[in-house]
Amino acid sequence: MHRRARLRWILPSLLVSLASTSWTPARAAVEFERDVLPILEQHCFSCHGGSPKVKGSLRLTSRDGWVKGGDGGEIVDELNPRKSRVLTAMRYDDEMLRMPPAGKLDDATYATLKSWIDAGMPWAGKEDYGVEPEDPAKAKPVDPMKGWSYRPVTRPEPPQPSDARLAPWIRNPIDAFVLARLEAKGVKPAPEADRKTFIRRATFDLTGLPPTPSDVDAFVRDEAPDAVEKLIDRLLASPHYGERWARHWLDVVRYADTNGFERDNDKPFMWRYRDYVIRALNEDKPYDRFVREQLAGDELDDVTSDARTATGFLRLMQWDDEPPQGHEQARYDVLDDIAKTTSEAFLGMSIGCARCHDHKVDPISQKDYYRFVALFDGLTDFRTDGCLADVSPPEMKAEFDRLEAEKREEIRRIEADLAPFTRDLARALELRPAISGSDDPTMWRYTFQEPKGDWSAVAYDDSFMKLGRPGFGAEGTPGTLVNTDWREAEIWLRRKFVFGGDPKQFGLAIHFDDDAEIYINGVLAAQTKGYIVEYQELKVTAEGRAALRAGENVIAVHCRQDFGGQYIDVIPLPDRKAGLAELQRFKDLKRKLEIARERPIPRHYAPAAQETGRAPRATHVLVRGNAAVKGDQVEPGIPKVVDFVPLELQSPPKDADTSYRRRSLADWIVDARNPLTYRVAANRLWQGHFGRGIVRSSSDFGELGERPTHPELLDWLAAEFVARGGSLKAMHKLIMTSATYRMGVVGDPKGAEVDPVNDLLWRFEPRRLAAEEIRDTMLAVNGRLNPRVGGPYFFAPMPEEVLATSSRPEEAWGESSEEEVGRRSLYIKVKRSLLHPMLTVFDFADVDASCPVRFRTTQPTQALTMLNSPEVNDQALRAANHLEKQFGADDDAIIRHLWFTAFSRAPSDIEFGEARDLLKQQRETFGKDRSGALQRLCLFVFNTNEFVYVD
Amino acid sequence: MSTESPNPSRRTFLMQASAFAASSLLGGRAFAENGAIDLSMSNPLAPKAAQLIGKAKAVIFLFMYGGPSQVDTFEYKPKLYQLDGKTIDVKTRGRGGAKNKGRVVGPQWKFKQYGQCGKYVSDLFPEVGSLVDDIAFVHSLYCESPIHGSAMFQMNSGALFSGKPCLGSWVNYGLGSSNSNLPGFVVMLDKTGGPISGAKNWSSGYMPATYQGTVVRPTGVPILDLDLPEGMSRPELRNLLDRLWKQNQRHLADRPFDSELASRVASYELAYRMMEHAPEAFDISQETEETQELYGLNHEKTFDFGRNCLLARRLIERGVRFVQIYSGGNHNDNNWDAHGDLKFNHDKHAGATDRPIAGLIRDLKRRGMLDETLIVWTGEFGRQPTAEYEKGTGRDHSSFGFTAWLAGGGVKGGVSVGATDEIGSAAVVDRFHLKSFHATILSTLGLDPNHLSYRYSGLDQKLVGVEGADPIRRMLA
Repeated sequence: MHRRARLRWILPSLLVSLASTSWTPARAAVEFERDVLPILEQHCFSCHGGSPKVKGSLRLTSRDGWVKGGDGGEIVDELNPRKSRVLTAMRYDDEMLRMPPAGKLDDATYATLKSWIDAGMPWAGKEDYGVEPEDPAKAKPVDPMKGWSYRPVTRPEPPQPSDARLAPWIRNPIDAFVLARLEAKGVKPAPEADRKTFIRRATFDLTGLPPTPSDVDAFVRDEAPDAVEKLIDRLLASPHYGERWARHWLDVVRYADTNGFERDNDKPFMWRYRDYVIRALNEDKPYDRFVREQLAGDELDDVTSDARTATGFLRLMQWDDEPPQGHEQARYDVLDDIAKTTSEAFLGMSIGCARCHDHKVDPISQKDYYRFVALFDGLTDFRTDGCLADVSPPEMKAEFDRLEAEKREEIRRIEADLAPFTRDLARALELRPAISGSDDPTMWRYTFQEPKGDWSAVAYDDSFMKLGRPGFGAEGTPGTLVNTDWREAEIWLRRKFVFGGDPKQFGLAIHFDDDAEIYINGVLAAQTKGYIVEYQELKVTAEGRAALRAGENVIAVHCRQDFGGQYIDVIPLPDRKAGLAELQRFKDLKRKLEIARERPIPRHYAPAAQETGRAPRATHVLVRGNAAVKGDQVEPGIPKVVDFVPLELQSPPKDADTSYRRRSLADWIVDARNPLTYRVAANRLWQGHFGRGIVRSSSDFGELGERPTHPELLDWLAAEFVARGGSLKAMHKLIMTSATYRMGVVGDPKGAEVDPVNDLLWRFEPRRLAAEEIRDTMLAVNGRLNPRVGGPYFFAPMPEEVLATSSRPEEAWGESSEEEVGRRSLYIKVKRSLLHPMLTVFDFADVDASCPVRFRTTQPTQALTMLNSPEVNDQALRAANHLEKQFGADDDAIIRHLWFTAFSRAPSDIEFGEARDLLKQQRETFGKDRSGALQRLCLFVFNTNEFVYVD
Repeated sequence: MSTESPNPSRRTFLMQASAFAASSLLGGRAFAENGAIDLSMSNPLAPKAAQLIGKAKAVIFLFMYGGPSQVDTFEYKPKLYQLDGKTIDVKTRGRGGAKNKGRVVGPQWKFKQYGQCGKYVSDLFPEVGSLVDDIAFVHSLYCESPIHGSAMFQMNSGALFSGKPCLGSWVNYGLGSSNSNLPGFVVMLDKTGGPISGAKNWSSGYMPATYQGTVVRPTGVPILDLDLPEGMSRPELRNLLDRLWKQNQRHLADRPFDSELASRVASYELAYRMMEHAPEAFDISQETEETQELYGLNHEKTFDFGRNCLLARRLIERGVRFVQIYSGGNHNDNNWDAHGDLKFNHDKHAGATDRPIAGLIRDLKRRGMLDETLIVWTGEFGRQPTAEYEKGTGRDHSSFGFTAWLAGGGVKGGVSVGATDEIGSAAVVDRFHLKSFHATILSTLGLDPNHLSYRYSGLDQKLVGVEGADPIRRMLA
């Protein structure tokens, strides 16, 4: 749109370059060097061109810079200078864009700059008053691996060892790649781990639990040549495999059961997503399907219950129910979180850096970022329960539909029975309300102004009062049937009723909020205080009764509002007994209706993706990431740097309620030609087995990430993964049967010398158990482990000291049954603001953002937890009791069994002696009874290095 | 960055990649002959040289949770008294949303001039007032959120959402801790409970848990699980540790390449020392009667906060880098969140803190510690000049302009920087985004706010954001 304006500027720009130092139009109202330059120097240059770091890529030290603008686009509107963005910023009109940031310019200064801009920004003196901006790319040496991850995956041929004597070490091609690098450095691979070590390693690796003593025994004795293969098959078939490996993925997708922020409310049924991941792994769902379901399970050709549940992936982010910068900004925060997690989890690409502006070293531009964001811009805004979808399995769905229909029918029936009551309660209770005159018999005369004179008297002329149907009050007051609005402080009411016989048969029904007086024929017949929440009978005084006469009577009511709800309705009951029976029926029906309405249909709900329709709103580049400053519109797409596999935007079918953008993205991601997807996935698998990826920065395969230690091996694995149909279990087996995986932890001393961080993989590195594994192993040892897979989370006991850090300690956490607390740590509620200390102290993933690799810290607080915490001491006591129950007074049997369950081996003679001595000393020196002494023995075992490190 | 100091991103890599395994190949040698423990190689909290020359070595951060009102405490707005009760046009934004007019609530306290610099301070803070020549005020801070939760995150970590390391984490990451018997980042809460979002306010975010705040309790056992389990005596613990040592040494002998195992053995000795020494740090009975009086420990009103201030001094004396003390906790009037009765609320909280804060500054000064200790006083935001409701003096939140102050190491006393408009509704003179305040704090410690970075998610993350921020130079000595 600025084409013409641009032409207008070509000429002056040329002039600038020709004249080189100055260009001054004829009508310069202000003088640049005298008036303008000092202002620019004082207020602009320090950030925009006066130092090597230039903010917003905007250099204001030259005229060129003013014309060019910065990351946010042009700052001067050449066609209409007065509308220039820079002026808006200086006026502080736009809350999100205020310059200079240190304070608004005074009026005179502003006027000077305005007229200078008006005049076309005449420039004089030096062409540029700034300093060279820094170029971070400059300092870097040329890197042959630059852009490696964007190159197509080839399937390299496994290399032959140059020393044929080493060939027998190779069990599968993985080893060939590893050996080639070892050979090059002259380092020998470590000898194979023994059977006991291997089963312990493999069992923890695949299930997160220790092998049982009988498992160990059987494996050690198994002389079959395929003993290892059988073991791995058995472990992969265990439901605990899905639990262990789900946790790896849950770290990456930042799984939590709550929203974070102030209230940190629950994400209801989020656990169904967690269970989906467990199930997908246990079923060995092909990886492409796993990806497609999470990103676009609702858009697939076959939308299964699992596929819908999988889209919970798109609802896992932190969510602020009270966003400080408005809902639009919050929406982009959510989209940013989703785009970032998606790109990091599936593509190993950190796209989030480009949210605010381009970075020189980053091949992903800001436009790329917003094109990627647009792929998700069809998603409905997140709401705590507005995102729930019915994901009931089809076989249960029919039953649920039947129950639902039944429920609807029952509600309809009760409502029909209720109708006479709700339509005109007075008529229903009075039974025969006929009176003389033309008025509807149950209508009242009413006024909000105190009536003059004896307003309750029979003879009082109430014709000035308005006519209204009962009850009177404010909608929303409990238990009421409001027909006439009353919101003033007081109300006076009058009506007639016919009464036939015996005063003893007369009664009153009432609902009031607040104090009321009731008169019959001018005599005070009843009085109430406070309020009630449903219709009740009201006792009539003897005087009131005496005032009744056969035939027509006048009832008058005065009611006052105090605060909160307000309501008044009085129903005379000429036949008290029958009237009250009807009232009871009315109340019973209401209760029945309530029960019917609240009867739950046990449908399976889960947070899931939903879109606004087939055509999402337009997505724009946001200047500096600010939702209030929209730049160019962008079409959904993928970053240029990876678009050699083109993204095909699929158009949704006519009856679709989504845009198919996510499906398009998912299909692009799982395309076998995508260079990132399978490299990233194979690398995560490797990391799960070896504690570190072939690329250590497993969510960052970009320029700033780490380089692969074995690029060919990674490519071969990626190709193999595709060739094996995306089967994770096949890959686990491939990796775990390699000689590389089977190495021991002690190897060639030369390796330690030339490669202390084990980049070459000359040995297997021991691994500290993850937070969950430590707790789960204690449960396994003490027999408390409840192996139930899946289901809602539970509350592990939370120390009071930790609860006290919450702003509402009494509501912050819950309590679960003894049986529930024995479940695996994976199922402990992940409350963002209150993570369990037993987990966090051992480096549980930060759940607010994607966690590709957990830290592995060694801290004294961990020792405090293991030695002193009531949790661990309780686990030790349970272990003691469990052992005592099994082996009675036989200390040796107890020691042997404890060693087998905790360390997967028998105690040595020395250990036997020391353990016996510990028990003895506990009893004799420290005065413990037997279970007290055994508790200390178990506590000792839990605290050893061997307990928490697996070779 | 100075070349002597370890490069944080290199350390990050090591931690992420191999969890310190590479950092100490000496393994078994972690135990020296005399039994002393050398953890310098594997302890991320080991002291480091600052990047620049800084005066302060430790921070005591006084967090006035809930948001104190600037015009009733430290920013004198004489015109506001006259406007009391009048409805005026003024843009505000708080929990009640954005408004364009409101009924002015005049300041509820009188202001007096104090010190050489003649600074006006309200009657809420007579004791702190008497120390204004040691204090640098900034009256023109602004931030994006007028909502407690996100504003707390921003004040503590620079971001409106959680997941980023807090100031205390950054300071420990940048400087390390000089006492391995105590955590480097300590948090003390109000007796009424934690602030909104609890532990997220002292989280280390994407940094290792080593850098997260440790909540300590002023009474009883100060640190979680510091106390021995039931029925265990110290000799028994020593006995258990010796047995563990023996068992672990045998395990270690077969695994010569795994220094992490040796670190873990050493961490048990560290824990043992923490159990022995940490309680001493919390034992205020060692303080003289006069000192206790100085902090207000003899008065019910000031006892809790005073004790926490005194403990803070004892902790930084012992090498703790960063102590954060919350004034106010829980919800409503249990903190500075004066929506209803401003007078009642601020009298209560200022009354509980004025003397302890002044006592802390005086005590540090006479011990020669003030030069090396930075004291920070702030809320997560300020309050509006107008009333929130039809009746009453309560003020809603305001993030358009608020006051904070610094005292001690690296700080120039007796200065006031910036100002809000005549009625205190928004910063207008020398406005500073909250991140400039963070930059100022880091600068007093010798940390360069634009270079102190940590690599995460493809970016060199900084407390002040990737765009950087400059310190408020006029507050610096």
